[in-house]
Parts: sequence; structure tokens; C-alpha cells
Amino acid sequence: MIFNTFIYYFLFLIPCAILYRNLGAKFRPWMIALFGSLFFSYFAYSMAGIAGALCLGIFLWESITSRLYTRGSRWCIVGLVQGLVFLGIFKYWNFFTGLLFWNHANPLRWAAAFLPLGISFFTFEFYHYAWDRKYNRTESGTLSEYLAFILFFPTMVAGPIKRYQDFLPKLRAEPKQWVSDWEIGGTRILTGLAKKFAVADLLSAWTDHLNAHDVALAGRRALLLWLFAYSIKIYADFSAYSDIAIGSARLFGILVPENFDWPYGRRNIQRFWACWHMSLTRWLTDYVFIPLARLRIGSLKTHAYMAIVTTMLISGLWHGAGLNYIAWGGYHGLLLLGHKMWRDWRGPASNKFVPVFASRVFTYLCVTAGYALFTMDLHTAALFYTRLFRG
Amino acid sequence: MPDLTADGVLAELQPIFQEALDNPGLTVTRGSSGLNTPGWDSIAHIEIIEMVERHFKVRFDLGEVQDLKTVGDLVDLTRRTAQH
Repeated sequence: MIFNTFIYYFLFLIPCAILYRNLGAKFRPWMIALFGSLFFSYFAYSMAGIAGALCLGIFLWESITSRLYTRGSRWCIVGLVQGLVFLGIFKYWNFFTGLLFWNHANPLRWAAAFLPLGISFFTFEFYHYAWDRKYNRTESGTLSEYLAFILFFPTMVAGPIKRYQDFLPKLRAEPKQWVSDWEIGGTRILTGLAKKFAVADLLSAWTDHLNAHDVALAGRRALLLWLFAYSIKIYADFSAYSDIAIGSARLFGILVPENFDWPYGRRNIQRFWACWHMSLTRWLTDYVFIPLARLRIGSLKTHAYMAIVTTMLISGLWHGAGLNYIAWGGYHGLLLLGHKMWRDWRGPASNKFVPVFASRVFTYLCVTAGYALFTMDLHTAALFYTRLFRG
Repeated sequence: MPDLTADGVLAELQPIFQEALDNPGLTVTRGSSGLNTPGWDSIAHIEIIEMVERHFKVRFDLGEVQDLKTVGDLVDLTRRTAQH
């Protein structure tokens, strides 16, 4: 984790935020671009060597082609495709070619494959920009502003996924509220670090048991305990990253989107997804669900239902290149579908205390039950469920 | 021919929202959105858009659909598209 290193704070975040606040408007985006480049090169090199650091070229290439994106332009299509190609090659090449040669050695395997730092997030921001330029939903901004957007290092590693039209006004505004920004930002960073160290890392003692060997030996109670511990851990861990990212951005005087809003207290799966990794949910709704639902295949309801399941399958695949992630996405797609059909059948939900409370608990249990698919490969997850339900 | 004044479009949207959200007593205003209208989720959003397109015989493009947040946005977009 980058956010718990002294280097992140003392070499990158604090110097850059101070310089940013003291520079004129013209130079501020360049300052973010410069520090973002150094940040990417440093941490990418420490994780994947020189090849990782050279992936900075992806940002530079994207920033050049982005100048060609205009309303309805074919260059926007190029931008959309190249974002997906970057993601596809680095993240999914071995997975998909491995599926082609099922049960055989994969002759197309890329042995030296590595994941460029933050690729799952920055490619989604590339895609968003190309799409929104195509439909004229955002202005192009200057080269330096676009570089600042894609190289804004507090959100580069784990989101939240930003939107250019939201980011630009904040980048252009004079950051005046030094004291309150640093109080709020600092508190948010400390909150994230506390969540990470005091909750998430502590629970690893239990969640580390979610592996084939331990699952095969454990009893039902232990399996349940590990799964519930995992549900708390993943929330504490991921929301901690978001807290630190949001707090870090605040040191610049830049507000980035919130990512979590008490998701486990929600009364149905649709509300859960509206409050869990919110920037991803909004991205998937805008750039996957709505375009798919507008294809008009079959009846209105049927293709909307298909679009929901497909969107969640893609969401699963985005979370990781493995069949278990796709299964996890499919599971959530079916939950969303089941909820929609239930509501269509039963009408509006009751607001009485007992049904509301029961639905909140039921939603949490459904989400937690799915984590076995998220955290273990399919075979181990199957073993987990078998031992949990059959003993 | 539908009434394309702002009030006229809003009035014609009422039965569409009532049917799409399965709530016969519902009255939407320009400020109504997915955040303050029960049942207005992503699927309902698509249903509403398609019903509005059929009713007013218009076609919205993807970017326009993504920008719709409130009933007021939908009224303005419908008027703009239908008058072209």
C-alpha cells in the first residue's frame, strides 16, 4: 500500500500541495502533472521495475490523442478503444488467452506480465473523457489541465474515479481555505489510516484463513466468522483508501467524489450499490448500463434486465481477472434482478420498523455471502459453500 | 400533437411517471429526481426515457440521456428535441 508510506506524504503529497497552493493559476496544473509523473514513475518502478515506470508513456500518449477528441469525432472512438486496449492487454491478456487453451499450457502466455500502477482506474478516466467529449458533455480544457486530471496522484491508485467536468472547476478555482482544507483533509487522512491499521489489518488474522487448506479443515462457525470478518475488513480497507485519497485531494483544495455512504446499512441491494464504491457504480451506470439498455434488444424490461446482469458481470471482471470475480459479478447481477422483480411484484416496500430492519439485515447477509466468491478462486469458494451448508 | 410548453410537457409526463414507477398517486415536479422519488432507479430511468420518446415521437442521444438528472432536465430536453 502506497498510502501508508512516509514517502507518499513527505516526498509527494505535502510538498506538492504546498507548492500548488503557492503557485499562480497557470502553473498549478503543471505542478500536479509533474508530481503525478514522479509519483507514478517512483512507485511503478518499485513495483514493476523499469517496464512499470515506462508506462508513464501511456499517460503522455493519451494526453496527446485527447487533444483530438471533439464532438462526434472518430478520434473519440480511438480514445475509447485505446483505453480498453491498455486495460485488456495488461490486465486480461493472460486470463483470456488462458481460457482459450483451457487445461493446456497457454502458448500465448505473457510470462513477464505486470499491472501498471492504477491501470484499472486511469483507463476508466480516459474512457470517460473520450466518451464525454464525443457527446459534448465536457469541455476539452487545456493540455496541462487534462494532464493534471489524469495524473492527479491522490486518486490514481484506488480512485475515487473522477469526472473531468467536476474536476476542472476545482482545478481552476483559487485554493484559499488553507486552514479548513488542511484540517478537514488531515482528519480524513488520519481516519483512513486508523481504519486501515486498527480495523482492516487487525482482521487479517481471521481473513487470511480464507484459503483452500484452512477452509478444508475449519468448522462451520469458523467459516462464518471468517466471512463476516472479511465483510468488515474489505469495507474498512477500501473505504480507508478512499478516505486517504479524498483527504489528500483536500490538501490541494480539491474536492473529489465520495466513494462510500454506509453501504452495509442499506435496505436493498440496489441501495447497497448506490452507496458502495459509488464512483464506480456511477461510471458503470453511465458508460455500460445505459448504453446497453438503450440497444433495445427484446422487450423494454427484458433488455433492461439483461443490461443489469451484463453490467454486473463486467463489474466483476473489472475487480479482477478471474472466473471467481465474474461469478461474483453475476451473483450481484442476479441479486439486483431479483430485487427489481420482487418490487415489481410486491409494490413499494413497507416503512414499518420490522420489515425495514429485516431488509437491512437480509441485504447485508446477501452481500456477505457473496464475498467467498470475491476472495477465493472458484474451486475454493465451492469448497467453502459446501462445508458451510453441508458441514 | 403534444403540448410543448414547459407546463404542458410536465403535465404529459405525469401519467408516464405514474405508469413507469407503478405509483398512480405520484405527482412529479421539475425538481423530482432519482434521489427524492421512490422507485426511480436505473431501470426505471431507461423505461421512462423510452416511454417519453414514444409519446413525444423523439429520440434522445446517449449523452443527453446520461445528463438527465431531474424531471426539469427531461422537460427541457423533450421540448428542445421535439421542436427541432
